[in-house]
Amino acid sequence: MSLSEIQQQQRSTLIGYTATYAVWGGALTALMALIGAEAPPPRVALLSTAILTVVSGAIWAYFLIRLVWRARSLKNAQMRHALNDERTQVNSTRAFAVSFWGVLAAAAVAVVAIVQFEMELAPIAMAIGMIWIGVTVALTAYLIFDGRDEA
Amino acid sequence: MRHEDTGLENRLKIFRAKYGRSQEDLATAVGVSRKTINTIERGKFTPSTVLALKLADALGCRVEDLFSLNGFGES
Repeated sequence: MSLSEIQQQQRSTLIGYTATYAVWGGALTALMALIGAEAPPPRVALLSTAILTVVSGAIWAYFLIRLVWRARSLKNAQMRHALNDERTQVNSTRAFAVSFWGVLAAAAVAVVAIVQFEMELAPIAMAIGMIWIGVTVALTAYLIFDGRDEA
Repeated sequence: MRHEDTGLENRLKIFRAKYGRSQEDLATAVGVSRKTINTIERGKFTPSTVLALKLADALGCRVEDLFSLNGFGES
């Protein structure tokens, strides 16, 4: 298999990984918000969110294993180096920078929601939500930068 | 091709064609992906000094033949 084909496969897997992580992380954040809420949440909302969390988590785990397995099964050192060449590293750095500002913006929104609008946000939901936003923004930004290089 | 931000001119595509080498072939020779060679040729990505030197070496030319900053230092 050529490097370009491996790169294409890796991109497809990363798209699936990002999409399922976005769903799983969002569902987990919502679940934690429901559990941490002062008023008991409706049973239907709690159950459907829990099911969505488990199902999307399982699919995300599948993509995670696939991604790790593919990376580990590549024995050719030159190919491994080429897959993580300087353009890829620049795109990763840029994606992390975008993610940093994304998390900062989300934190600012949360502060305003709590202080200004006196919203009740469970600390665990906020913590998971921040990780969710950070990872999702980083992965999405990376895919966008990488996709632009393809054009 | 000229890089949008840095103004770096590159003649990588011309030299590659001159020596009859494909993007994939050149990428393998310098240890990067074909996509990286493509982005350099289109002026979307500025390579590091190390990669620029590797490219020049692989194509048997000087790095100044491949890359230049037109207008820089002319005052």
